Amino acid sequence: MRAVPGLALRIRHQITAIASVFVLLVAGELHAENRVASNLSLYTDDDATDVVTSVTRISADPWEGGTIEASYLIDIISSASVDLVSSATGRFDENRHALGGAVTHALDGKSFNLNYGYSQENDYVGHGIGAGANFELAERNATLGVSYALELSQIGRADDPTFEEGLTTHAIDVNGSQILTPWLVVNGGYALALQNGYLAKPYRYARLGNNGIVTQPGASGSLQTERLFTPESGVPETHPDFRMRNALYAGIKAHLVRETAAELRYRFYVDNWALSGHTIEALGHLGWNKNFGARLRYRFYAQGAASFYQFDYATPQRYMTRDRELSPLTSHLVGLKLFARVEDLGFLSALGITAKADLFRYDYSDFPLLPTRQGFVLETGVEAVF
Amino acid sequence: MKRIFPLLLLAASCIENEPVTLGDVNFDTYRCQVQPIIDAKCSMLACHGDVRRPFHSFTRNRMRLEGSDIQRDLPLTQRELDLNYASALGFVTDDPDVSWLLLKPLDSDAGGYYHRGKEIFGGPDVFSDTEDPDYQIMRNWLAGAEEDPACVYPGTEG
Repeated sequence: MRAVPGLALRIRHQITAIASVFVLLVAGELHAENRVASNLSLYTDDDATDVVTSVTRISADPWEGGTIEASYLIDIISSASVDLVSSATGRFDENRHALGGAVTHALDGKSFNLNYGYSQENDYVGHGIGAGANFELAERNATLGVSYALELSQIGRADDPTFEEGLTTHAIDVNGSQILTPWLVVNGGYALALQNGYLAKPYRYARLGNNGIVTQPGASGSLQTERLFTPESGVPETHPDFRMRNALYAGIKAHLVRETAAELRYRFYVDNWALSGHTIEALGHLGWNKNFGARLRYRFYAQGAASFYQFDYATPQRYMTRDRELSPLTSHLVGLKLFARVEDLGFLSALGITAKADLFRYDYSDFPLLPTRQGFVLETGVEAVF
Repeated sequence: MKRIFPLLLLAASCIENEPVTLGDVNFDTYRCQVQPIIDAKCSMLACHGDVRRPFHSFTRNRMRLEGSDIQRDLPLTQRELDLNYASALGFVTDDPDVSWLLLKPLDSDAGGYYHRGKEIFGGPDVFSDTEDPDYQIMRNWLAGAEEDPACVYPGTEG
């Protein structure tokens, strides 16, 4: 899981060149808004993981109702999380690159889109295609949206050319919204994802048995008795090769005064691994006017464990995991987002700036290696509209 | 919604997760023939003589389950041998030729899996090919070779 020196830079230069050509190709036929947006975020947590993410998007409207968008994302990841340290593996650094493209055509209250995404890191390559449609109904008082996505992934193991597994994901989403009163909107939907293939992680080993205290030689070579959560054996993780994931979600948004609104969202998740979860999110949109505002949010999430999850397996099972995200957990997130938009700036028709901060905390009630994880995400963004 | 939730729960019906056996291989063969190979080639402190490694092994003068510094050279205890055997079983499958315990230390040029130990120490992997005598001992063990229970593991004779 080590990055290839210089690879990120080379790919970024290639992407920049591709993006420049794209802009030149479409610039001659621009009829409506064209946008360039860039976001930079920093994720850090107390599990020794840092991720810097940069996303650049460009979009143009080359024909009436049509929008073309291209994006490039890079994640720069550095981690020495407990998943690694507990397996005597050191810190790793790697980059993830993702390219995306989308075409949307909107006309008479209907819009259709096609999209493609490519993601690559040193042990993963994924291709995704998707299509979607949105319809305005009941004299624009309601909307209906449907989408489908197919993702084909090849999963490898860093530095191991002998390891290669595949994963296919089909995802369907059906959603709708309805204006109930001039100040109240409700929405809801159902999302289904079917995954078939390799769903474990090649770096994780389930824990079989538990010895409790083990005499572990220290760095100097002397014996030191440490209380380690020491498995009798580490068994390569085995997950079922099929997962059906269902989510039902609903929300209600109320416009209050001026540019202020309150929103409540709920999501119920359940899958065929018997993992179920509830998400409740409350948001407050505070706007001084349409160009300056803030968003406050709080999100609570709670889930049970997958049916085959155990921190230590007393006896070998067909399926064994060490994925803490399959253990019972709760999480809290508090976030603040500020945005400002200035219009008519010379050759720019608008310039938008955003700043966002999220604080989060996870509690794992049945994962003693990491009982809690907390951290923050800081993000800034700028968008220029031509 | 009253109809949808039961449907979702039905769709989420639990998968079967029955107990399995990790390799039905002879303990005495492991104790007397395989453990000495692991002692000599695998269980250095920087390698599999580290209890954090998924596959790890207690060995005289290296990682020990208990005891003080001056006791480190004592013969392996029955408990340590049991734990070493259990750790090895985690990498054993019914088909010997696809068992990680054989394929990880086998050089990739000879059909083995990636093994970081080869990178660390350079040169060929623990077993340069399948003709390696120690590879053959381990493969025979995985294929069902049975040792006399009275066999003596080197270092435990007294």
